[in-house]
Amino acid sequence: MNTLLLLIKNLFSRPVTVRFPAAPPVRSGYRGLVEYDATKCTGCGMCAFRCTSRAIVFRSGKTDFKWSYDPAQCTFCARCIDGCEAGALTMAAECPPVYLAAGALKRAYVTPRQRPTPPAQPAAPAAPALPGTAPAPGEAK
Amino acid sequence: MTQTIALSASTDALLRLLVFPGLLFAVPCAWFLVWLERKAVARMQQRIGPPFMQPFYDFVKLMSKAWPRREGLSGAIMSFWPLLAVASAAGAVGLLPVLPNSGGFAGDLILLLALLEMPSMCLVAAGFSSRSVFAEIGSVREAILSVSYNVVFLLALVSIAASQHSFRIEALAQSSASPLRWLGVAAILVCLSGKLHLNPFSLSNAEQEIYAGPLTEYMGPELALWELAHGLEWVAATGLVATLVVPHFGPAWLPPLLFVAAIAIIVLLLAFVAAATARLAIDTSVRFYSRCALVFAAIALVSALWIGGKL
Repeated sequence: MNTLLLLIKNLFSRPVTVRFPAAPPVRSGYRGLVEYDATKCTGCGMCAFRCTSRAIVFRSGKTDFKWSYDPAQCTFCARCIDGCEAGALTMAAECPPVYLAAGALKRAYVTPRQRPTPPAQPAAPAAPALPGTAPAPGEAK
Repeated sequence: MTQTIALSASTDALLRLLVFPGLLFAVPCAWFLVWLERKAVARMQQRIGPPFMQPFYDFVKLMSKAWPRREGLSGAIMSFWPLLAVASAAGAVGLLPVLPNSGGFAGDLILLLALLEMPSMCLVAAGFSSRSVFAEIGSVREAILSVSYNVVFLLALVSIAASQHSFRIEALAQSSASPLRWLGVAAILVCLSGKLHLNPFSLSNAEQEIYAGPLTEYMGPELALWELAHGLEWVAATGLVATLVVPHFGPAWLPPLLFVAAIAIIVLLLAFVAAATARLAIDTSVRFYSRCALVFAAIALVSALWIGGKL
């Protein structure tokens, strides 16, 4: 009897699904398409290494590297986001758009490799004064 | 003179098969009923359901795909079943007396029952022809279920027909409804869930267990024909009940409208049952129908004895 009452109630209440092309509202933390920020990427390739569905492909060259992403293969697991220490990858907080042609959402970026900036040299420790040598200028006696 | 009458009768039969209430009327009606059932079940499950034109779009999309290549005799046989199913279901719809004084002949109810059963038999044969294990399981289930519900279905119709001394559908449509008829109609409605593969008797195409059942190996235009045959089955089966329930009266345009309204109400009723129930196992389904069969066999027997003047 409860089932029948529930069905009748559902029949006259608003549906919880929406008709295409409308998209349902998303909550915070929603896993949408992976977004790439070329300015932050260091080209480590960790995202491609962690991508089990092979949606992210990383090709490394001497002067540049190519990062490509195919949403059709993506399972939206967010392992790439978790593994990106530079914070170059984020996920869009909206439903992925509908596309009609295969590979329509596929994206690729070629980023020139930046010369790594040498780390700041720490000040060399003062060499111990050997017996019989003259002390360095300014050294306290 | 005889030739003219024969020509007129054959033209009339052809018009009924192809135009009204045959294919030209029945195909849009079938799509409408399929949409109505899907929409009603969706709304009862708080989903928005398909748009109105969805069954038509599905049909066009499937028809636009390439015909599957099947080699040898088994392939030809496999392609033959959906055509036979559509032809049988369309023939069954063509026999329905939607318009008053639409003709018919003595014993056309028997032909209607035979044609109505053909799509189910084609489905069983198609499943075995495709040699898929899922299709074969579906076919076995469909065959067992078909035997189970047909006992009730036929006995209910025999009891109605015997109470009116006629196996002519139009005679049944024009006669007044008696309590015995309402019992028979209730029994037929119970059988329609099995005949139309709806819950709780949808085990022959249990998608979570055996994919599409007997239709697992079908695709493209052949699958479109199966869908069309199923839609026409909807029209024929619910139309038969509507014929028994809705009397013919008023101007000529009123009976077709009442007919469509009646089948829509029957579809809503079946959708309600489908949404409210879960799929039964094969042994439970058979047990359910065999218990019903006993009750209605007794009613049919009493009815037949009454007509024979033995009571």
